[in-house]
Amino acid sequence: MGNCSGWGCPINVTVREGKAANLTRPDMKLPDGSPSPYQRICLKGYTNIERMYADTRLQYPLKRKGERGAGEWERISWDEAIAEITDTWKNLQGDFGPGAVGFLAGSGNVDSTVKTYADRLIACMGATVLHNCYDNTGVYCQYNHGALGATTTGGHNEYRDIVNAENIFVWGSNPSESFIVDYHFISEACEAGAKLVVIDPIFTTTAAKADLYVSIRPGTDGLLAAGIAQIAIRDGKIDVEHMRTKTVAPFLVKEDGFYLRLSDLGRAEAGSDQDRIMVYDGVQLAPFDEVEEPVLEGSFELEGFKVRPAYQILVDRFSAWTLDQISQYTDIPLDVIEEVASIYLSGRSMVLLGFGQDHYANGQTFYDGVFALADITGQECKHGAGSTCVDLTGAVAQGVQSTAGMNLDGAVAGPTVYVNHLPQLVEEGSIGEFDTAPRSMYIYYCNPLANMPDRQRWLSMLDKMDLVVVSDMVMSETAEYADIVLPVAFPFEKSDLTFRQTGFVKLIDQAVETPFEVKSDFDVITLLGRAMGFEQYFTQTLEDFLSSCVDNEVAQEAGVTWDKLQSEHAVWSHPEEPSVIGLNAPILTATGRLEFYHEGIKPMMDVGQEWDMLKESCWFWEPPLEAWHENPLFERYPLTFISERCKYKTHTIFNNVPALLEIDPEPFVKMSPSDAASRDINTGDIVRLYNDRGHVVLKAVVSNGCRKGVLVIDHGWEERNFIEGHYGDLSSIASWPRFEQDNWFDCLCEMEKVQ
Amino acid sequence: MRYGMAIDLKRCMGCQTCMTSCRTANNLPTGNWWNRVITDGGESLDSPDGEYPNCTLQHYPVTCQHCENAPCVEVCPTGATMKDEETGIVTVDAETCIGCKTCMQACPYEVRVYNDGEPKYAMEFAVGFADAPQHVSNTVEKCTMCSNLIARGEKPMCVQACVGYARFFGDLDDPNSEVSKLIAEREWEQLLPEQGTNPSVYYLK
Repeated sequence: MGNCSGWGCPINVTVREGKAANLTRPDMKLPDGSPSPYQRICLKGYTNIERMYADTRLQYPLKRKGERGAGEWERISWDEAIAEITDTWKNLQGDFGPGAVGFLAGSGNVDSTVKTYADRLIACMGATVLHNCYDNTGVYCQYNHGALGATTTGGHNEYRDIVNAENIFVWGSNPSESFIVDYHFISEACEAGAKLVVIDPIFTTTAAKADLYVSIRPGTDGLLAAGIAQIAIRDGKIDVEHMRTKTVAPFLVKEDGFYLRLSDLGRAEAGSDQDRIMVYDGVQLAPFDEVEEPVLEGSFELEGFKVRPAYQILVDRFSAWTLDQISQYTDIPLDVIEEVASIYLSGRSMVLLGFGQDHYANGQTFYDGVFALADITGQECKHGAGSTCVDLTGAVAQGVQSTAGMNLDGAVAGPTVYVNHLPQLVEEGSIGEFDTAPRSMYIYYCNPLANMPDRQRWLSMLDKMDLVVVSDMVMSETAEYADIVLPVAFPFEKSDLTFRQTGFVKLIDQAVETPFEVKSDFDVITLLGRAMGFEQYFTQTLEDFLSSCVDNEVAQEAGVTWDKLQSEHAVWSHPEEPSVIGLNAPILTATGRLEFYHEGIKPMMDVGQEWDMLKESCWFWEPPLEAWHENPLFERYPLTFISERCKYKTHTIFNNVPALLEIDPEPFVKMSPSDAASRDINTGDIVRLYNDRGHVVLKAVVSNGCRKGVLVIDHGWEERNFIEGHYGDLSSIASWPRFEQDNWFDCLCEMEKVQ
Repeated sequence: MRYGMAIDLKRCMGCQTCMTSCRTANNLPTGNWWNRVITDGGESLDSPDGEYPNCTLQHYPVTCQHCENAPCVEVCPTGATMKDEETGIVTVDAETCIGCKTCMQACPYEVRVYNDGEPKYAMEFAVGFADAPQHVSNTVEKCTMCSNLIARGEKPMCVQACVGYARFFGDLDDPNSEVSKLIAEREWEQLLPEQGTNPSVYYLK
């Protein structure tokens, strides 16, 4: 359904007279017969009938008649649409190379296996993969630490493990709005006695239920993590055994930032299995697996190499900040920092992460910091301790492996371009190692114009494109700016396989026929593939393709078969015990250990940016790129703009549902009473938010829950919903050198009353 | 027998799934929310009271309270609003309702809605359960406690759908029912006790 926590919550669809008429919750059971905790549906899920039959549904392929975005369309046939798209693509690829066509997908229906079928076309064409830039900082930091890439969960601790925590830190997420289907795990933990701490610049519904609410200055969460870490070190609450056995803490780092290995000493061939990382036992150097109690602290010159254990580097980085400085920058009183630390260090602590901090350019200072904190205190690798991340750490069912990109003889993969740099690439023709700028985009499963920062720059980039094709269920804001719009099926109108988040492999049966001239994505990609001349790779039926995705060894071992899915629809295919990285799920890093130190770290995309590998290899703190009170820009633009992930939408999905628009009919900006008073603004007034990039005009709501200096707009609106302008025009496209990341919240602006 | 509900306020996070699941299941016309979620806090939805950061906020899901001493029953001039003796559910008979709205004035919980003319719907066809209630022009309607579902042994939709596992349903007269046990074990409140209505909806604190 989107990338909300449910990721395609299981729904029974009742069909009457060929229409989806009622929605109910299936009664799903775990292997032991108990009800699955992963089966409820949120407020949005129950409105899917209204969404499916909304008047914004696309009915026929459309071709632009007037200017881009003018809303003038001509109905064309599928034959005409496919011919025009593929003729243009062939010409562009012939003239400028395969990369001249780019494919951009987002997280709409993120768990769809059918969605991956486009990968076959992309591979055959050698087209450019346009990679989205949301959540990359948060995701990659988890990946770099060793938690992502595991097969059974997307992150450190699977959601079910929340109930085992003694302390829950909701830190950078808003679970009552964006974790609705799994919020009950928090309730259960609290009923069992867990303390609930909420750290957030906004007083949320969860904050109202918390034992301790901590208001923090945006962009400084990493400093708070460092403060807790320093208190842990000061009070002797570090877990030396955990550091020695599960983390890179004892590994010796040379001055060049790389680990000292046997090969450096001429005692093994570089890169061989025997080329182990060295530690120091207090007397001499030895391979890490030959020493029981390696030294963690100090700085040494051994056998001609100046080295420090990775832990010492971390301690040095933490020590760069005093608790007083941390208190000053986070705007949290010292005694509250001590209280937070004291709770974190007593009992099993679980941090419920989200992507709040990820949306600031310095987001890694939080994620790297909080994982380093867990590494040194041993708050991980056990049930109830560690972290779980909204959107990511559900139970990943085993056995579905997309075959879309397999067995394509002669296919040469095209480049991957992160879209943060796409406007620059299109404007300049080349950046860094990328010398082919896409001249046509195929945009599917996403609505970038409404969701990306620096929308004005996106608009001018789209203007430079020869052909923009959008496939969508509805006339989205991006579709409105396309040249050709292709209408595709609603999830109830096509069959599909999903497997993330709930522990079940689910076969979604097509419930109703596709209406009008709507086609399923599978059929659209097949038509495009055949017209591009790849007939031999586009011969499968949807059933052939889906059944091939569960025809593999993992599926066999898990007992997942196509026949069983057809009879049972949902097959549990996940360990019964909640997955915890480092306990019952592998740590997938090069060292096999949890890494707070990242040897030889590289940026996500090399575009010739300044790169300081040594600095980026371990936690440090620097302020956000823009939203910071010491930034000179702050004098003109003293307000930080945040967009809240609200319960009524999953990004712009559900922004066409009458029921939800009845409850939440229009965008509004929430502000603190003092920011409102100083600008003579009252609830209900119309205000204008602006900065050098753009502006947006909308209604004002004065809220006691807003921190002074912070403006909050709920997320998921489109151009037509604002009185004027767009909140996407406010935010910057700038990113930290290590990440390709959309930093919506790293945004300063000013506000004035319009009427 | 007296059917009632218990709603756990600690578990309720104000998500409003009760509202939308009810709307779909009962084919509710536009604007007719039989379930609402009220914010006990600031002036606007989901906003807290108090001075930042020392704020308070609590959501209250509110539907027909199916009161033991229902003021709506007392004031109804035609007998359209009745209390079902067998179940304790307060019902409205659309055939005898004359749309005088006296009951709406009498109800202290503001849970009744009037169909002003022909009801309007978001959908062009009837959604929800095949036996979902009819919505009749110029009559007053409200939560039926999903008596159509109860009749076949199911729980009301808002209870089935509650994603926070906060809503419980059962017979308040049966001391062994889940709701009776929760009311016996937990602190609770009823809404507007000063009205003397003795609601069948208990809010667990």
